[in-house]
Amino acid sequence: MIQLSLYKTLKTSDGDLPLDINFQINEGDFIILEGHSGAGKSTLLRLIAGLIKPERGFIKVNDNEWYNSLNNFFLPPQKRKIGFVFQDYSLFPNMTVLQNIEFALKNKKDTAHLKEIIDIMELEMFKNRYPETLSGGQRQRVALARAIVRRPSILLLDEPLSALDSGMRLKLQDFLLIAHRNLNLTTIMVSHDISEIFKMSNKVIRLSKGKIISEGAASNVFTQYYISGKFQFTGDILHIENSDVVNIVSVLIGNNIVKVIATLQESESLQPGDKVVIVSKAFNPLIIKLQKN
Amino acid sequence: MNCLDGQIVNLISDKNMTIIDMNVSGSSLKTIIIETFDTASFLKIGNQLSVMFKETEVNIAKDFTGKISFQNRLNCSVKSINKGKLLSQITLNFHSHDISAIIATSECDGLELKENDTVLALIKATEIMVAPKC
Amino acid sequence: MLDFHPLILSLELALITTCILFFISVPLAYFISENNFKLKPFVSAIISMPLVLPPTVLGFYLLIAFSPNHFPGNVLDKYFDLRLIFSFDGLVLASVIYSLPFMINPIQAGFESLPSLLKEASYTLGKSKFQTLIKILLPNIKSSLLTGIVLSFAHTIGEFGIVLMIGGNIPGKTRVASLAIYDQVESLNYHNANFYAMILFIVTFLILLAVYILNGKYLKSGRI
Repeated sequence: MIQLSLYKTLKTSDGDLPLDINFQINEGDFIILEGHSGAGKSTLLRLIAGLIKPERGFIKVNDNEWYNSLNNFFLPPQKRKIGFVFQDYSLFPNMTVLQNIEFALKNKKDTAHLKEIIDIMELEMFKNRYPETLSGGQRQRVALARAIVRRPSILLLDEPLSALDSGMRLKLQDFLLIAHRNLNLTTIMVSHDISEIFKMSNKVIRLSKGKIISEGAASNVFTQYYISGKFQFTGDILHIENSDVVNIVSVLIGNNIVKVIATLQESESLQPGDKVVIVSKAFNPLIIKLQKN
Repeated sequence: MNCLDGQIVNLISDKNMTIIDMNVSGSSLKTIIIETFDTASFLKIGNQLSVMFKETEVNIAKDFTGKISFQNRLNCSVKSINKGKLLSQITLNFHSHDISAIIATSECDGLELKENDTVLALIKATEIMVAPKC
Repeated sequence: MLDFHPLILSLELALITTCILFFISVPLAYFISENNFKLKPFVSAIISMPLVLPPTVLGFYLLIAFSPNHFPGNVLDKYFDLRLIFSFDGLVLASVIYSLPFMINPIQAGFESLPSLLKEASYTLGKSKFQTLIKILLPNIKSSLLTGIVLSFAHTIGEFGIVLMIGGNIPGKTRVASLAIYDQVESLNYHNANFYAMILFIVTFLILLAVYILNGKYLKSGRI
């Protein structure tokens, strides 16, 4: 279990903003931090990592203390069991993919683990290349591999997918979920994307101006999105086509295009590019077993 | 999407599912959802809900006698009819709320629907979704 | 008969000075770029003084300071038997002070140009500040290091005023190539002067050429 209570004054363009955060999370949780820019999400991650020092409070990870202002104890980032993935990857340009990951490996003889991580992240093909020759998605996979190869107690992800196009984003979400499950990680990730939040997290913490304004399951935190329908997918409207007394709305959900009927009145407020939630009840879908051949 | 306001009058739950009995403008409306109070804290008698259902899930009966398994049978009057080639959109008046129904044009003709007709709007409980009102 | 000694002396002086400067400047530049202390502008100003000060001013004060009649020259002379004026050691020390900004400034700029996330990424991977400096920061500022090395080497070779003040132009001891050229011109030996001048000219050009070619390669590969 990870418990923390942190206080730190942030210097912002609008003056001082007190960051005052208390929460506890369980091992194996996938937490998403959500909030406007300047709410203190990245600062919170950096406080947990020990890259900046809080003014007061404590961080307890399982039975280990990482920080406690009462006895002036501050564990430096090097001693904290964390993996940190930055938005801009922050790979070491002077090292190959393999060297980047090996650099993070605690025990150089642990080649089985190294290989496992390279396999999960599908990096075998370009392990001898330098970061600048890789695409954004590939770089972020390397950064992820480098962060998790140390078997961190907490994996901290600062908007790791926001610079990627939607296809790569979906693929990396899957990589992240696989790594999270297979390696029993506890993950805290900053994200703004509603579909990402619903897909990845088992708990959302919403920040605003340095404070937690709500926390809980995504469907409870985002009540405006809460509908009892069990089939819910967020997607983008590709186009709207009239047919008879209704419109047919094509929505891109992940990599699939689905078509949904909408009345003419309903369609007035919709246009291509809009983000929408598609909801249906669990009672309608047919379930058909696929034949193996 | 049709959207009405309702208030929870009664709840019947088993392990995972709940039948919600709601009062919508004086009429009873029922829905079944895969939630219980443990998973959805808004499931409390007296709470306000938004009641939502798709136009294509609204069926219409006229001069109906006999028994039928649709849990929701709402007395409405026809406000307007917009006929297309295959489908027609019927706007119904339900306690001064509009409910929209999309049915096949052939059935619309078969029912000989005209404005101000008194009809029964039929909706299956499994087709109605609810959301807590913020 | 041509005397090669001044040339050898010049190269020797430049090599030793550059080596000392490199090992002083890396930690110093790292410290300055890492920390934001109150005296930082003061320290930066002191380091950069030789860039604008006439070499004779610096030479004059060093001459006074190292002379056995004043502090600290008298202490060095009395307790360490070290007399820095009119000696090669004195030349080295003066050159180190005089060329310090040429080594420190590019290295400091190099450190400061690196995104701080690079070093933070390394810390989160459990690496100490020293490991991060050696494995991450220095390899990524190779071109800055090279610029610093070459600039201080070339600058030391080209020194005149300060070596004249401190070294005193003693043949075989402190008469470096730049002084030898002046001597030859004074005694109207234009042929010999041209010889020294030409060699300095070519050596300096070749060094700079090599630097630009090497740096071009680094830049092209993107691994700066």
